[in-house]
Amino acid sequence: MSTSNTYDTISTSVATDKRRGTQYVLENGKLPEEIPHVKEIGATTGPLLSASYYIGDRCHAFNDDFMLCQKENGANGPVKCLKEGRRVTRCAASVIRDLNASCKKEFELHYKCLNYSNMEFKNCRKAENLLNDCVFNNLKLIKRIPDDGGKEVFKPGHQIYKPVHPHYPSERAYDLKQKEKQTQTQ
Amino acid sequence: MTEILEILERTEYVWYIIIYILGILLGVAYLTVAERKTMGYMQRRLGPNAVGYYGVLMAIADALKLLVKEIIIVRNGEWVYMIGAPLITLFSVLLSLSIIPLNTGLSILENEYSLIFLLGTGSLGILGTVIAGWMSNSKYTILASVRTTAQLISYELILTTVVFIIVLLVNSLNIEIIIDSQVYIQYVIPLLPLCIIYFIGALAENARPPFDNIEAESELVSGHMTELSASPFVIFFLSEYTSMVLMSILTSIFFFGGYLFPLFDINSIFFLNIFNFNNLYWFFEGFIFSSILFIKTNFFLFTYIWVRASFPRLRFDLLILFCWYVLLPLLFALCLFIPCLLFSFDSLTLIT
Amino acid sequence: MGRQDLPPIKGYEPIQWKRNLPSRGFRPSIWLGMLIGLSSYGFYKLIQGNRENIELSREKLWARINLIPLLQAEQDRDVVRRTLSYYNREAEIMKDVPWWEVRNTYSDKNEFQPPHTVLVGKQLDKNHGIYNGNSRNRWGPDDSPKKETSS
Repeated sequence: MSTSNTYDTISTSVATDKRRGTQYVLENGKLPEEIPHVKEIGATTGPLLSASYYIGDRCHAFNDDFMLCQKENGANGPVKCLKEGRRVTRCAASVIRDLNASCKKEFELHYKCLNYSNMEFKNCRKAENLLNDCVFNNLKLIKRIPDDGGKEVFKPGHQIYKPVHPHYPSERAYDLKQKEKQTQTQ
Repeated sequence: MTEILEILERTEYVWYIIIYILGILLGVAYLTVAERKTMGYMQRRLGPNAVGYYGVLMAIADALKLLVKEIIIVRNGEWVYMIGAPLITLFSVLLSLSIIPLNTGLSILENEYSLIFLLGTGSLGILGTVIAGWMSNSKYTILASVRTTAQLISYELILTTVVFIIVLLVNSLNIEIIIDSQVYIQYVIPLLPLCIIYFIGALAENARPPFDNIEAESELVSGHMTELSASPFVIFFLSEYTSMVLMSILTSIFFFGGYLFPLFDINSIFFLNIFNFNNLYWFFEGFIFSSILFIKTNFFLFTYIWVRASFPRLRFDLLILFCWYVLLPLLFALCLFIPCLLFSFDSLTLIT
Repeated sequence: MGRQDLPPIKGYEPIQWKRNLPSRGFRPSIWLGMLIGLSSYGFYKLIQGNRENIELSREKLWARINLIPLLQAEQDRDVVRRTLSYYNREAEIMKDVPWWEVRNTYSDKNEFQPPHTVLVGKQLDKNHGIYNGNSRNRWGPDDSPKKETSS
């Protein structure tokens, strides 16, 4: 069953819709009462990508549990793993909520930068650095890439690549932060 | 007023394409004048200087002259094909130009497989020359088109192989990713011999002197377009020069980093970093970055003219042998060697 | 008769075919060395860049891996909701047929299978312009005032 149109891309015009014969599935029935309701995450690609490593850090156990359940149940996964799925969603939502509560400015800066630079992490190192610091100080979550051999490209100074089109608001924020740090040490 | 704006907004892409093509064709027209002027100075004469100040209007005068001339089609020729063939060549080149990124994300056609598209449209151009030579129903033009095909196909192989090596380095067919990977190092530095080979191949592919055996004016009349005159000829002429521009752009993209400017921080030089993102900002950013691309391109265009003014023509058999016996074996060896080198230093991105 | 022109007895002097131009620049071996040096430097940088590219793609990959359970859970809930409501509707429609059994059509096994036929809705935004084709009110009911069509 296709839940939406079968094409992966969002159709851009009436002409495209006509050519593809795009039609949408309308199914407005609710889930049965015995399945508890959970609020969907509702975030778009930028914020989700920005928060993904923190989600991975905090919700590690839930994620693994969910994927293990899916693996064990095979085709029955969607119905059997609803409970695990709700936990995953609640956990991810809690991360996003916490980010918005304690690091709203940095979080916004980083996902705006990601949106600006085609979702490339490599263009947003400065914003990411600010966000990482803030999240570590407030939420005790750290970004960790498994199997990278200790290279940790996201740490400041580790990346050789320099963005061709930097995101200036985040650059300015980073410079400001550096100045503050210098004045504090003096 | 709002209705006009709405129509303009709906036909936005049509206007983009029209402006792009007009810009290219105007640039090509002035390229011909620039070539005559430069060759003139290299041979100690003045070059065109009569029409307009400093010969500036020469391009327009030339185009007018050729377009106003009567179109003469030979009696035995198939006129549909004789007029259609130049159009095939011109459109194939213009299609190739549509994937050229002037800035990140600033191209008419932006896709993940741009190099495949490029190779396809590049090969289409040969079809026009074959059809023109064949359909003129003259043995001279048929001979010429056979000659042309032999040369173009041989040298296209070289260009393709060089591109293939670059694809092996980058692990992407996306032309923007190829440019983006050159932030680390511009490929002219590790691949200087390949750059020279690519330039030679581009010269031969465009049938520029010293490899212009296929249409040498003084000896072989005009090759496959002997029977063409007036506007069909103009279109062939135009497509040749457009493909020259295209090849220069590609050389600067593959080896000199396209719109990248590695020496200085281009964003702070032009104070791009102090403005907010608005429409004017995007305009200036695109303008500056595409200017960098076109400055690099102009260098290669000048080199084409320079080479034409300096070197004598090669014999045709030597030209073909040079391709098949020298360049291709060398390139195939490099095709094996470079991935091995990268693999042994643990940096072949194909295996991630 | 005059004498025939013959070559000189000792033969002609050797023709000077070689030009006496001084050879400029370095020796070829030095040029080759410079080329190899340049290429080596270039490949050094290139290899570093490629290694970093591998790490960057690893970073992208793991960002996605961290998000997959979340996205999958959301999608699964949606699929289950649609499937259950489809079967409920089917049971509602076919309640008068005693032998009718609501179950998946394509497999005897008792496993979850979304229906292979779907309820299809209207085409959205038929009369809108090319530019903002489906931008308005994509998933919900169509609230926008409909234009009068001549047909």
